[in-house]
Amino acid sequence: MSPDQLYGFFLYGISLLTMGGIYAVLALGLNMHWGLTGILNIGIAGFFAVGAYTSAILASAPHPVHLGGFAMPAIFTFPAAMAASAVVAYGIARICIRLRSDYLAIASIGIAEILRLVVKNARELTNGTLGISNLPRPFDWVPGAGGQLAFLALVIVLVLGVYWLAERARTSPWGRTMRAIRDNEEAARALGKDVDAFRTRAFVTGAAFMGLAGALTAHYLKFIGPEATDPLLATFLVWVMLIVGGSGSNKGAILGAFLMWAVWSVSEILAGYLPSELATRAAFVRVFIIGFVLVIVLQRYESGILGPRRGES
Amino acid sequence: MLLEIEDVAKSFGGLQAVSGCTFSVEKGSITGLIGPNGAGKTTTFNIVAGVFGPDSGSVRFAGRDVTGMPSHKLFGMGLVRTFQIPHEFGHLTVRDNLMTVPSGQPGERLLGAWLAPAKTRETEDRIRAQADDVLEFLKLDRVAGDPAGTLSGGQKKLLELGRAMMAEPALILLDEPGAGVNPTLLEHLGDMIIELNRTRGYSICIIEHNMDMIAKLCDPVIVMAQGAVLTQGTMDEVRKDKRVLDAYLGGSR
Repeated sequence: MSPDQLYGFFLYGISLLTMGGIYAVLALGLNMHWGLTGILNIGIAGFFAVGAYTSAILASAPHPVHLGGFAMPAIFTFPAAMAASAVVAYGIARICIRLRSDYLAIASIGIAEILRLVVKNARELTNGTLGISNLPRPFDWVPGAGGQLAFLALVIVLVLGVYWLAERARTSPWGRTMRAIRDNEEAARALGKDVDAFRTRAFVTGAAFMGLAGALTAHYLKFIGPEATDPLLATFLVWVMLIVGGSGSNKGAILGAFLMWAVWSVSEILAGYLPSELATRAAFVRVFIIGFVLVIVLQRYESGILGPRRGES
Repeated sequence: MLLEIEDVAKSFGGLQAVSGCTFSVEKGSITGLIGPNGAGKTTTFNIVAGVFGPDSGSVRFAGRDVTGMPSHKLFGMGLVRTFQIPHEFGHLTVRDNLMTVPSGQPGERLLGAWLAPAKTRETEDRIRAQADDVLEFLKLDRVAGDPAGTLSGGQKKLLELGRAMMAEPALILLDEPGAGVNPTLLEHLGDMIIELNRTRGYSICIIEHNMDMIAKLCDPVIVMAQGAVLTQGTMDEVRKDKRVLDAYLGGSR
């Protein structure tokens, strides 16, 4: 193997881990919604988009069409992205949090689609289908692969930070009350718990994590367009990650994210070896592979790799 | 009067579950609420506990109009109820079931859980000690670490009572604490309810079908039939009332 090839693998490994880490943040957010609270959120892409575009608009250079020119550094735009997703989530929660899980799921799909349409059409805000480009990536000034390594390090630090917050929340009295609410909502109400307020907090916190993942993606790719909020990548894949890793387990969410991102990414390479007449169908095969891995894992681990065993909470 | 229910009515579709029900619970009493199945006792409890509001009428608790107030706010005022069918948190341990109850725990707020670990731990230690006292009182200490879902029916009833105790309430509404409980445990349960009333000063209102238990615990006894109060008095007085017998046997129709 030539040094060039080795270097190529090295860069590929960095990108694999970076995207895996970003998905880990998304999966931790979803675990807050579904694993801990039982909120069936099928609109992850919406919160992801709000975070991504908030950070992109705040960080971008002046532009003739879309809002921009604030040129703020990531240390401001990332928290702003989290805050924007949290605010949107709070507004949604005020209206929807009382819905039973399946109705809430339908509402979340609708809201995510609305946000996607806004992104596509609000040109003065998002530059429409052309997207916002030339976004600064933190640490890009470091020469060679150093910049990408440093960004990977940032992602890992953020994954650990989000993990710490999520795990601390899960094991705290707050997490105990959340589990009590899941076990028996009526009893929790009778024992003084403001169930809607608890669920709202979990929803808002998870959405903030998703917004952070959106901001990280936009700056990592240096571009954000409507395709990035495609439900297949920003919602469906995250669900598969959480289910494979083990819903309810924060470690499982991280494991599932890295694992399924590796499967998804490697399947792209494999698809490249297909004869050209099959290449157009490769996209479908990749989705099939994801489903196949999901089935294999659930055959072996009924509640995900690190999910609670039968009889445990 | 700690609790005053005034002319309360509630219907579900065409079914008039409660109609013009009026009674009160005196501070410090153990008040019994009896009546045949379908008399509207549990519906009345649900209205008082804020599960749903009445169609008409009013509920006053501790001198305040609390008609239609949600459960969690009533709990904050010192009113706690237990359920006829145990509503345990099945995946939580027995101890955690109790430790969930106290409100205003610093670690129950996300920011507290993240930023105030010392304060959270301190409160946890205090609540754990309180929970262990309650478990010992109820003789549930041996199963403290078991998931509550694995308890026997009788033990779940005790756990319901234990969660109410953790709230240190002014008034406990007990919905059929004796249903499905074996005679030995029933005796024990009755003694514990009396002790809670005497030594801790909890006022208690009990729905119960076991007349021996009602006779042992309750004064006064309120008899409901067809959604309204039929009569009230001591158990002996109520027992002699012919209308009560008729109601139970369906003769009043």
